[in-house]
Amino acid sequence: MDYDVLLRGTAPPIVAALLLVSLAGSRMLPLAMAIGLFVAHGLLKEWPALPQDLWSDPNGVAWLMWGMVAAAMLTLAQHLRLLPARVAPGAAAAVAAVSLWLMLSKVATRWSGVDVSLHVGGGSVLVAATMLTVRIVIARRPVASAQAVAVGALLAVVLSIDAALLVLGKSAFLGQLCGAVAATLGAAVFTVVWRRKFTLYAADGIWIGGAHALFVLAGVHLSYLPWWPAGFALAAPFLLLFVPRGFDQARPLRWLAVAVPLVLVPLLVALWLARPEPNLYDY
Amino acid sequence: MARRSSLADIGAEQFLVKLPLIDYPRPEPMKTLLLLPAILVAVAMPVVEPVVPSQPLGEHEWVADAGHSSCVFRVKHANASWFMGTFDKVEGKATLDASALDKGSVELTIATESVDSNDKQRDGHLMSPDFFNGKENPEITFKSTKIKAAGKDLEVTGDLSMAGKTKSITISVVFVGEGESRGLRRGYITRFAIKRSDFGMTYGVKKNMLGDDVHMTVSLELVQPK
Repeated sequence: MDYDVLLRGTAPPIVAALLLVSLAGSRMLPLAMAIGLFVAHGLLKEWPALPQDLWSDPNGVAWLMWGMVAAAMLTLAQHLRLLPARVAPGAAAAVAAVSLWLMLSKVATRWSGVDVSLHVGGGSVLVAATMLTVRIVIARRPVASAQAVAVGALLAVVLSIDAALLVLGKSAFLGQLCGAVAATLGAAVFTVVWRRKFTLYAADGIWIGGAHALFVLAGVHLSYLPWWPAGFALAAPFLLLFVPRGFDQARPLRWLAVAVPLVLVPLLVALWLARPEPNLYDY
Repeated sequence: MARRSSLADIGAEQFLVKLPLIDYPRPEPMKTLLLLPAILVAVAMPVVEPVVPSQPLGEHEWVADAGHSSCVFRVKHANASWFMGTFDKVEGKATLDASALDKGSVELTIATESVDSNDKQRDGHLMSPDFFNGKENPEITFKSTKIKAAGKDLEVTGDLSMAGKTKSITISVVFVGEGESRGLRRGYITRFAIKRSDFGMTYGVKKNMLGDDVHMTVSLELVQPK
């Protein structure tokens, strides 16, 4: 275990989440994620190129990071009531489409028209649908702390498994960045220990769902995560829509008893399908 | 007794080709006779076809014969040993006038996916965003910007692009020889070192799991097909 790398990837988002959520409340969670992800990128590899530089010299991972920052800013705008709620789904879909298009802009230059429409067009719909699905899942739950902790913890586990999948898909860097996003959410949930309250807002579904779908698709298109495990992972959040309505309003443990198997089974299948051959990264 | 070259001697920092001076044992006559059938078979085997350009070449234009050009790299593992790999697909073209080498140009293209480190799984990781980011950057390219002749040898300055980053480097290129086999052929070899972190490939550098210095050896056989 390389603790130095682990620290560089997880310390910035954890510190950002603990500070911002403790001092300014859960509404600052997307900002903490954006700051944590940006700093983690810088400490793990190099400071990401700015968008104006990426126009002429695109880099998929850097665009992915900026896409996550855009999703975070959109969420923050909703938290701060700068964006009307009725506009939010359309704005989320736009962020999803533009983020994915930019992330794939360089690899897509070698694709056929069919591949571009399938992977960029279809992928945008998938990312937007994942954002809105997670938004619905969070919105269905009561706002009380215990309920929010259950949803937040489960989604942090989902993102952690995504990170593991990305490492198995041959990119430690993508895995570390996704792990940074998971660490933000996990640390924010942890603040309930001393703050005695934690709230996960429906709008947070935009950046959480966006992170899940964009990172898994990045694993497929920018690295070597095969489609089968990616498909199982991408499907996982949608299964939360099948939690019976009665359980949505239930106590956290009852809800988790239904939600955990629904989400974790496909993710564990994905991990099994992407299981490593011996000597992974053994130089 | 001839001095054997150490690895440091053939390091890139010198930019000089020093082939190991090894005293190979002379084959005994009987063994030579036993080898004769194998030599005959080898001679009879079809020669790898040279790259044939789609358009006729000019008087001083050359193309790299991919079948006889190679790119080998070596990098330190755990600060303990050199491990080596190759890029199996090396293509290129050059404009070189023997009487005015300074006015020439060289372009080299190496397919990133042709990396072979003797471990398929590691090759996949080398292609990922941790290293070459091969899906976004399928080629490593070198384009000369300035050539300085030193006899038949060359000092070439050019832009090396890989993993989405470009850096200007200057390399010493040594003339190996000239011959004729289905076209005029001219061979060059260069050894140089780069820091992979300059190209954004920082995986394993801090812990010295994989060295930052990557030593490259590129051997080009240029051909003017008849």
